[in-house]
Amino acid sequence: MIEIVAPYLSFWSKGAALTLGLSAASFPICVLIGLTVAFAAVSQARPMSLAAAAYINIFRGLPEIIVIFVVFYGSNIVLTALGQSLGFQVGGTNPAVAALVALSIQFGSYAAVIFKDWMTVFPKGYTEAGLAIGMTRFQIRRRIVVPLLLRSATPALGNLFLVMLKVSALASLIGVAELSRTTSIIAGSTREPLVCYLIAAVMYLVISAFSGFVQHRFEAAMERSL
Amino acid sequence: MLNFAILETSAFWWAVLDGLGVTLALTALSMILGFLLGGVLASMNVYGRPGIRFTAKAYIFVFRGVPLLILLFLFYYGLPRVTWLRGSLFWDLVLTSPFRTAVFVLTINNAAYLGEMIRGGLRMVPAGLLEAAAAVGMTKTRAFFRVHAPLAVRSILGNLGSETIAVVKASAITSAITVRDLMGGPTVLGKVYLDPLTPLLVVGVIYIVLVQLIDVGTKLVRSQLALPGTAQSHHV
Repeated sequence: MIEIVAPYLSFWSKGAALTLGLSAASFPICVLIGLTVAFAAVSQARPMSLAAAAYINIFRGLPEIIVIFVVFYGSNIVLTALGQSLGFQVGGTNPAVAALVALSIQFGSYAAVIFKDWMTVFPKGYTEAGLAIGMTRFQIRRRIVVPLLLRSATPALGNLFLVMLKVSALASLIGVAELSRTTSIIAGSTREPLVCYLIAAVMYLVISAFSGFVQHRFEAAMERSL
Repeated sequence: MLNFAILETSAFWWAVLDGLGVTLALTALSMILGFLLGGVLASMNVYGRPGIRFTAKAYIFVFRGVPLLILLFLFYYGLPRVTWLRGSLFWDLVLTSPFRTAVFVLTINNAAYLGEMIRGGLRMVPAGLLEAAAAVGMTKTRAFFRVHAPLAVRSILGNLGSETIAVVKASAITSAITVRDLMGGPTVLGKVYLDPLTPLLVVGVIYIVLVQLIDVGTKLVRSQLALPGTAQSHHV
């Protein structure tokens, strides 16, 4: 059985690397979106908070698979229409870029919920102290609120990353050659789907366990630095 | 490319309606079955000896760590290759239709999440209440079903709502193994009409409405069942 799949191991590890890379690239963007949306949600300006609430509710209700497909097909249609009116030829959206965008905007809303929850328990005294020493609103956010939010939200964000690793498997459905896609290809050519999907399952477990371990160390290091 | 012609066909709207039924059935079945299995896992975790506890923990680690898509492919494409399974009860019950495979996989996946949730709920019940149950002479089983379990479930109602939402969303993935659910049915028609986007937008709106309805329902149930003064957990 091992002899059958052995020749594909390098192909497989490339897929695993892309799975990790896709989530690793998308995660900072989703944290950035999450912070922006969370600040908009608690904003005094009504249109801002409404827009943020709409963003959160829409992506809370949409299955990830739909967002991925809509971004992929939608951007193709928009790009083709743009290309026609401007007179250039577009080769179609790169599936990996579409998956990156889709994961970032979807998980941005999940991150926003995490940050919003923490903002409601954020001690008022800190921002008041900032105001008292003459910091601007923006300075207070950048130098006091965001660092503390990121620190307290680290466990939740770590879990979000683990969820993202698993959800990124859906990118295989639009043809991104990450771990699930490479597994399907190998399963097709070896005609050993059972073995191949079992190996993929173990690979995902290893990636998750590894990420969980890194998260654990990171949290411990942060505890010590406090 | 985007002409919305598909919206004028009755076949499309029937596919949406049928798909909605399938999605609701998938969600309800895997929530109920997953809750039962999750309850078993949680009890193994809370009451079990170390070996049993380890088994439950291992189950939860595996099924929370493997993507649903891989699990679906494993059971839909992988397991039917195991010839000695042919003719067994498992084969007839689970592997003979994509829908039943989807229910099975959603259930075993969901049970892992629900198991952790129920365990949290069981742990939240104050020890004094359980001691009181023992003091009035209830047997262990009776105390579990009359005191421990009901209080635990009440304290995790909010989490159960979020889990239902997660399952509604996750059930869309079963379209990858040809289940004609709310996602699968209409998008298959979209391929016929060479219009992949419109069906996605329509069902997307329905998913959003569905999730909002579950949210409202959860709030209603919680306000009906919540005991005054008991702890309610809000976060998953």
